[in-house]
Amino acid sequence: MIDLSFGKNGKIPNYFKSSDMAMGIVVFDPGKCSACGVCVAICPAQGLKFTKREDALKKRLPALMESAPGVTLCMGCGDCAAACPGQAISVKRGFNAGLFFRRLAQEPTVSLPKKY
Amino acid sequence: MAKKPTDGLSPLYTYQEGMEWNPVEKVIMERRSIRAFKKEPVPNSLIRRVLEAGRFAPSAGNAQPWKFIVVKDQELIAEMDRATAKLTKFMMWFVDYNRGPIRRLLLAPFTRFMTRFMPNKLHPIPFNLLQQISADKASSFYNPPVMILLLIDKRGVGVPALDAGICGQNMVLAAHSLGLGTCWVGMMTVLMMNPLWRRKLGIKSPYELTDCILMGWPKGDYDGEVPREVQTVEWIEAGGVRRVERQGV
Ligand SMILES: Cc1cc2nc3c(=O)[nH]c(=O)nc-3n(C[C@H](O)[C@H](O)[C@H](O)COP(=O)(O)O)c2cc1C
Ligand code: SF4
Ligand code: SF4
Repeated sequence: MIDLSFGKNGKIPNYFKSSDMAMGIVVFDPGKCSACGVCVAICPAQGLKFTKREDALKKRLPALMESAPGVTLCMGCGDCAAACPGQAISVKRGFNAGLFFRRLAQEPTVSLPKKY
Repeated sequence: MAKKPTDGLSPLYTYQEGMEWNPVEKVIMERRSIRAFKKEPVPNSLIRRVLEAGRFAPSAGNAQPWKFIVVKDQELIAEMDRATAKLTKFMMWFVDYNRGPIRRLLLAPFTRFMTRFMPNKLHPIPFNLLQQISADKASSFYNPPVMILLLIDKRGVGVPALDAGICGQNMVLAAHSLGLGTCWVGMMTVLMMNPLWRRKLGIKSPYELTDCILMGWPKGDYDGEVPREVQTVEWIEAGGVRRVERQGV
């Protein structure tokens, strides 16, 4: 395979390999979710969809879509978590693609606007 | 939506540490990209009012390197959406290398090569969206009642695209302060790869079109604060004393 790298950090990651792509992960609290659909409607990556729940309740629940095993469509923006009326969503991992697209994150933490 | 301060806003032009947002700050903090719009049209006078905020944006050398096209024709917008989907499908046929083992073998080197040349256009985030659009799972323009095409005049001073960005954000903030919802859409770049569409919309050199702003009455109330990355800010104080501060915590 042609190697177009300019050093290790210049290499283009494989977009469908979970070891190259740390895509965002959001988790849903099925107890708090009322299946209102707000998160599915607003996700800017359009990366959420409703799925059938396995357990006895059989409620439809939002879930994160994957383009390959371990590679989600989530860019970790947190919009869904902020918009959810039931506070049922938490962002477990932010987006950070590997190699060339790796962001030299200044801080792993996020915070709401602060009134200085 | 979480954390929407509705209590008394602070007056403009005053500052006290830790005070409530003033109305301008409130609009900045609570503006969210709106991707679901009511069918209800936006009055022309209101569109003109928003454009006025763009007209008075700062620009390098006061060159004002922008031009606006307001699209209200719903049929045209729907056609643009379809055309973008079609073009995306065509494009992704050449670069989406995850549709089977043979494609992966043949296309992966080419895709990497293309990504090397267009690292921003083929960044994993738009790549994902392009994939969704080409699978008919996502829309590019979300059926807005109004679309403002923000043309960049390449003859501007310095970096004209930067000026156009400032101009666009001025309009976005004005729109949100008036109760409208907006969304910046860079997928316009895909449509503009087709010369027929450039002709159809009248985009000719020295103008170029990369992004547009969707505008309309929001369906649902999504404006509100979201968390963002904490920044490490370097301060250089008098005497060259350097110090690093965490901004936002
Ligand atoms: C120049 C630019 C282009 C954008 N293009 C798109 C786009 O093509 N599609 C889309 O859904 N959102 C687009 N967005 C919106 C971003 O996804 C959005 O601003 C980001 O997720 C932050 O969310 P917020 O605007 O709600 O704060 C664009 C934003 C900017 C500034
Ligand atoms: S917004 Fe919250 S309550 Fe509504 S479907 Fe999504 S997770 Fe469930
Ligand atoms: S964090 Fe953002 S990209 Fe990820 S699922 Fe939520 S809304 Fe979508």
